[in-house]
Amino acid sequence: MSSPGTLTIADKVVEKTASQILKGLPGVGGTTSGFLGIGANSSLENRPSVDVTLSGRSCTLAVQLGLSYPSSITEATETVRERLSTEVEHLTGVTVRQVDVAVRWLKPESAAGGRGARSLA
Amino acid sequence: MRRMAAGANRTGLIIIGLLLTLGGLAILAIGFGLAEAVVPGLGAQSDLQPVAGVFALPFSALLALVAAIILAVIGLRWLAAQIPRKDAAKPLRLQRDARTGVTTVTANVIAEAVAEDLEATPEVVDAEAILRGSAKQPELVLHVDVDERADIDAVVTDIAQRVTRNCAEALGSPLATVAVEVGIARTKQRRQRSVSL
Amino acid sequence: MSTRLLRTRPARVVPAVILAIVLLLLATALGWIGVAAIVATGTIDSAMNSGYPGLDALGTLNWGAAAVIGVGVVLTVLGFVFVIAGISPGARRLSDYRAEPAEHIGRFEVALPTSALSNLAAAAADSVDGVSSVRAASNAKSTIVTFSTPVRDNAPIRDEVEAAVRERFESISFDRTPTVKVHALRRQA
Repeated sequence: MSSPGTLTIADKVVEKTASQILKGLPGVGGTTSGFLGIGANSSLENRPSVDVTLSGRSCTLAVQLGLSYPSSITEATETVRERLSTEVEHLTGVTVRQVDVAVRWLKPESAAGGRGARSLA
Repeated sequence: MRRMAAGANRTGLIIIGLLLTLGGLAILAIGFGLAEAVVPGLGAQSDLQPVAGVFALPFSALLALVAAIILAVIGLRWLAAQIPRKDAAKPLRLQRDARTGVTTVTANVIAEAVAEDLEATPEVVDAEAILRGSAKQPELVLHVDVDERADIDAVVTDIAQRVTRNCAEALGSPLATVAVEVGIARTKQRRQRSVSL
Repeated sequence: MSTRLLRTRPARVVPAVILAIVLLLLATALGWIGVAAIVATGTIDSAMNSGYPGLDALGTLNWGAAAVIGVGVVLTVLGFVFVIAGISPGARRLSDYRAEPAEHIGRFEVALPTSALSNLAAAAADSVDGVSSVRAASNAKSTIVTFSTPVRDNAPIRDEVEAAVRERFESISFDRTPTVKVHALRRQA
């Protein structure tokens, strides 16, 4: 019997996978980077950014995201954590040990226009 | 809203004030001959040669330099202390179990969401929020500018019932203290630049 | 109410800034004289009067001289003013509002600064017919409204302005509703 060969998964793949999993979560968003921070756009439509540190067959994730406001930050981020642990492992076979979440912005539903502008909703 | 160095200012004023008063009174006491009873020969007619003599002592220029540096440091630090401070809370940790990862939110992120939420209150023209304390004992300081004809009771009720409740929900704990300063924007001073429909 | 988040009394920023600047000026003068003396003599053990010979003139004065007495008086008065500024609490800058507590709030403080009282009063007075311009000055307990009008018999307008401002204040749940005083100025149209 010859060996069936090896499967190598790059950290970028894990990052993209994790990011894509979060895109499906309601009330979770990200920031597009723009050019040197100019034109950066924070929206619930964008994907959160994820950094992966691989060690052996497991990894830790660092997520930067935005949340809709008002909702419990603890609960929303626990959902993110659970989703990532189960689905990243399911899709890539890499065990997720830790998910650190940094909440970068909160978007109130009431203020669609943002600061300085008024919305007539 | 922001914190001022009120305590330091008052202490500084009292210390310098006392020094000036004592110095001034001493000069007057000698000038009017009242000090002669304590220091014989130190009267209105004696000259200031002993004072001028101090400036003629060796190394007095070096001492003057050292004194100048000390005074300059005190003056600069006192001036710097006048910049109003936000004293916002340290980044909040909101995870359930740190072993599976930590959740961090800066006080600024929450304060901005609260301010944005506040601006959705009818008749609020401008709003600023500062979050102090900790995740377990949050303190929210708000400043709102409302329209001059606004129903202020309605604005305060909205803050009490909606804005602060939203913040408490996001943080997952009741707010230990909420302080609101209500300013009035005169119509001619207020100018809304855009409207999004 | 000692641990209030809103500052009720003045922080004495202006006198503090003045004193800090005076300290800096004093430091500059002392430093200048010190450096000048060391440069002039070229040694580190030089005396201050070699940097600024004017200091020697001090020795010719006597304690009873008018200039010396004058300096004493000025120092005493300034010192006294600073001590008073440091000790006296100063005027309240906030008018407390009676806020209804909510279950998700431990302590709820609401207050209007005196500038807000003035703006409210001026806006209310502005809405009265016959008023051409308004000024209002407030402390935490009262507001004085001064309006100008081209109308000769301004007593009715005065009453109307007073009623408008009073009504505006009563529509707000102050802890203690500020009192209102109105003065009229006649202005030639």
